[in-house]
Amino acid sequence: MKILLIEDSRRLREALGHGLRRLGYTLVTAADGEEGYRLASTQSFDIIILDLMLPKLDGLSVLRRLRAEKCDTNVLILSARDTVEQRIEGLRSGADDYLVKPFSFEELVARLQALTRRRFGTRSPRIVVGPLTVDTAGRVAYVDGEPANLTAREFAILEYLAFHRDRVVSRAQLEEALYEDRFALASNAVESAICLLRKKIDRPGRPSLIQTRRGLGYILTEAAEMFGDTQE
Amino acid sequence: MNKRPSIQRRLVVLACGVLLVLGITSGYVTYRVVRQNLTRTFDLGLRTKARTLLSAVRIEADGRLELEYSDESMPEFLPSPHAEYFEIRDSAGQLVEKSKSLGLRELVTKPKHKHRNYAVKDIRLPDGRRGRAVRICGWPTLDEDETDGRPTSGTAAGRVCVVVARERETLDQALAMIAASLAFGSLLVAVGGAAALMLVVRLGLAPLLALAQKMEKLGPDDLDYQLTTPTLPRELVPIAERLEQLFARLRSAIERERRYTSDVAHELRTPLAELRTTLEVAACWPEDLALVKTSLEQALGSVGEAQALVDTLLELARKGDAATPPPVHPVNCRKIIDEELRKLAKVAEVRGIKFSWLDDCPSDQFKILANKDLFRGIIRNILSNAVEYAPEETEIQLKIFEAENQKIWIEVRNQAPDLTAEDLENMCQPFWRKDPARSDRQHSGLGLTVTQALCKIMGIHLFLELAQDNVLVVRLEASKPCDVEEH
Repeated sequence: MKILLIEDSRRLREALGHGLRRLGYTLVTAADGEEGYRLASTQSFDIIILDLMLPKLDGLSVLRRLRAEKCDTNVLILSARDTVEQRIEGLRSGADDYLVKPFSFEELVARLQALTRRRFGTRSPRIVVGPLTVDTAGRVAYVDGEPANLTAREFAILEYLAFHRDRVVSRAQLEEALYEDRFALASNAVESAICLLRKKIDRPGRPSLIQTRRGLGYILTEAAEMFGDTQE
Repeated sequence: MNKRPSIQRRLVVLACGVLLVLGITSGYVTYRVVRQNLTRTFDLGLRTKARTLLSAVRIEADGRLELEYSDESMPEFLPSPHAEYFEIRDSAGQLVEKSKSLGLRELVTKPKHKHRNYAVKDIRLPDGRRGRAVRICGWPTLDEDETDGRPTSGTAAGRVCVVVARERETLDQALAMIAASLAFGSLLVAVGGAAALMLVVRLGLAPLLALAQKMEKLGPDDLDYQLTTPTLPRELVPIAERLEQLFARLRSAIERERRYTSDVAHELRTPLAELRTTLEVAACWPEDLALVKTSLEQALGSVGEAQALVDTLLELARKGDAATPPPVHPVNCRKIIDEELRKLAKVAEVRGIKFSWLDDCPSDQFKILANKDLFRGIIRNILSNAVEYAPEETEIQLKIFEAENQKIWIEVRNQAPDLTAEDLENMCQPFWRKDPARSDRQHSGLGLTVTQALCKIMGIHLFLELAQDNVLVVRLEASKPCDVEEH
């Protein structure tokens, strides 16, 4: 999942950056409203974490501009403004959630997960694809009930594919969603990551859960490949 | 039970009391007048009869007195249960004639003033009833046949006195009935009047009661309630207007307090959020020693900021609530300013800021009445603000002089290209910063608030002006000391 964090407090940016990246989220940060707005309107994000009192352009203005431009990215407001009126104003301006500072990091992560599920139309935090279970809340994947030892990056790829199960996800989509700077990536970064992931979740004698559609991308599905084995 | 005095109750009680006294007095006076008239009419009847009888007394030729009278002409003097009485006596008091109703009895009347021609009094009648008697004295008529038409008065037979009496029960009954009617009427008037008064008072005080009820229902959130309405009586308009003014001031004070509390909460929440998130993230991956180390450093930075903020807030609270003003003494302001300038010299040098005195201000010439330590704090804050916020490579100008109002003025001028006139009004507000996002974490936004509080408790006036070319002028106006030793 790719998150844009617009927050003027350097320490908070850094602390959240550490935590969220360690959990496998791709994080892009902005220190003021103008930069945040520029990033949000030029790149694709799954969630925007938005502070309200920002230099140059305040958070509510950023939010209103984005909504006016039909940007449908989920926005979570993170603010020290705690009155009911302020929370209502934030939600009515187009925010999907509102969290008051100081907050629990776990709560923030739980809310991000809920927003992600909402974005992909999934209610359960567990996505089951054949023998594979992806626990988006616990950030763990199970194969035949046994936990797969995945890195944060591998889990992020698997989670993204799980949210798009039975649908083809292009390499560009994966790069956009999972890497902060896709243009600085090695050309085979995604292929290598998928290869390692397959090794950890596939079982011998069974078709691969992640199938490659040549020229199109990858698909996480339980259905058997009809056009021949495409495992690389 | 509410024991507070009530205007309505007091008005009703007073008005009812006055009404009762007036009712009793008017009833009594009316009774007296009616009684007097009835008695006079009663007496007039007796008097007429007495005159008739007196005129019927004749002096015979032999000097005897004779009453020319027939029972048929005055049947009321015949014996009966309601008989009336008369008797006629000569000047010697000898009985000349009496009514048949008296029988063998006599009217026992002893006039106080025997020489009066007319007298009236209440008596006990021979049959035991209460009665009233009229006594008339006069000269009897001389028989015309005997006097050949000469006047009869002043004859040797002397005066005769006629006493006519009758029972007065009918009069007493009439008077009693009138008295009862008047008493009952007065009582009715008093009760009805009291009820009417209560209604009138209630109607008259209705706008006041309505205003009181409105006030009673007002809560802390209803301070913008409109009390002055078009129907409010003019006597209550000044009260309502004054209350509305007070409410407006209260509303503004509450709003200021809310804003201040909200600002304090906001300013404290940000370092707290940093602290909590930093530590929670570190706690999630304790094996990552680099992360833990960085997190602890970040946490210490946040704690330092929060502590500095709390210290400043406490200082502000202490200074703002100072019950007794600090001791003040003559202070050499130029000397203190020079000392503070030396402390800021390095910071100013880094930013290319220079200081210059506009006039020649001898170090020992200008002394003000102040607390030395607090004044130093004021100067430090003003100068450090000027050094930090003035554009790089500019000049800060200083000036001390004695103004026409006999006060010492200390001015600090620096370039402030981004400041507006509106900013000047808010600069002393707690947590104000030019950047509405308040991202500048090096400054709490309380410096000028504290400075203003310090000035206030020492009687120093702080003025902020935006001069030509966006030059910010911070001016302190302080009193000169009398001949007191310098500290």
